[in-house]
Amino acid sequence: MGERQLNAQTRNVSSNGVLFELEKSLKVGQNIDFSLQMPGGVFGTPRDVMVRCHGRVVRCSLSQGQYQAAATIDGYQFVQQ
Amino acid sequence: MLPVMDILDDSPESEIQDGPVKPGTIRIILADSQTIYRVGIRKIFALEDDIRVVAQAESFESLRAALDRSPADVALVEGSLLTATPNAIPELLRQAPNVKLIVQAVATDEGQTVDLYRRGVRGIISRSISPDLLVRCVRRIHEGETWIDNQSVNWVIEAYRAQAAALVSPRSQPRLSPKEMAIIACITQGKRNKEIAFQLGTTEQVIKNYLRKIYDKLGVSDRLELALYCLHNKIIQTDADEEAAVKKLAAR
Repeated sequence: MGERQLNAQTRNVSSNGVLFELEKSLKVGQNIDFSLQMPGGVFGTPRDVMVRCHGRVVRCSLSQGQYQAAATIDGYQFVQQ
Repeated sequence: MLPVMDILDDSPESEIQDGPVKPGTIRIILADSQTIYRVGIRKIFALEDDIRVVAQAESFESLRAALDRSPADVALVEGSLLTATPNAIPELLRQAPNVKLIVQAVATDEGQTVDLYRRGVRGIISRSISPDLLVRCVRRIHEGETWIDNQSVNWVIEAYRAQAAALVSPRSQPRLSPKEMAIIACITQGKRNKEIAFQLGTTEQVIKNYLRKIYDKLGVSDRLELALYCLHNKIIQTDADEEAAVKKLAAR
């Protein structure tokens, strides 16, 4: 209930957190589930690598018409190919 | 007069010899999952005036407890007690910085050997070592020496050479073997260690060992960091290369 899905562009990522660019704002403190897509060519895998993560929004601001949201990565799982 | 062996207590329990330890005596803890092994080694050391077994342990946890209870100079540890706990050796050395670790292993390969010495082990010996050699090993290590065979010396020197070469060449990346690359590819495909082991025709423990080595080489601590490292450093391998590597390794 109240769940919505958004597309976002990853700007920066570490094992602790991620910075997204997206068109809608996210509420600070909100728990989110997101997937990181990484190019398979880098890993020598036939398909892109997908990592499902969950975390919490720690910052969200408007910059040049786009929202930038920083979120923690509290847990993750590689999607089985 | 009774023969010496008959008056020894065969109790496998941890606290064993009471009474003050003479200055200069080497205090040793025996950690081995097999009671018969501990009893046998204890008998070997009982014949030496300068070596006193101060505690015994049958698991990693009981070894840690023994280190807390009984100050020791040397711990003689069965290698398999260390494999189930990540960072077992650094943990032990954090707990007891002055204790010198000797690992008894059935067999060690290059990676394991280098890893053990790098993590702070002072000596690796075979499970079938002769009593005389074992006693000599304990004395040498207690004196501050490292006990290492010729083959292991070469492995360790090569590892340090490779490390030094990487340090003087900042652009160079740690070299990953085809097997390590294959394991990374499997991880990013979401495979678990057990599945990777099955695919590469080996055991889960071997995969864990490889992973630890990969993490050490790249300076990462988990699978996501590993993936991000590969992403940022463009560790590229074509599909054909990767498939060939996996097939080649699985065929071994």
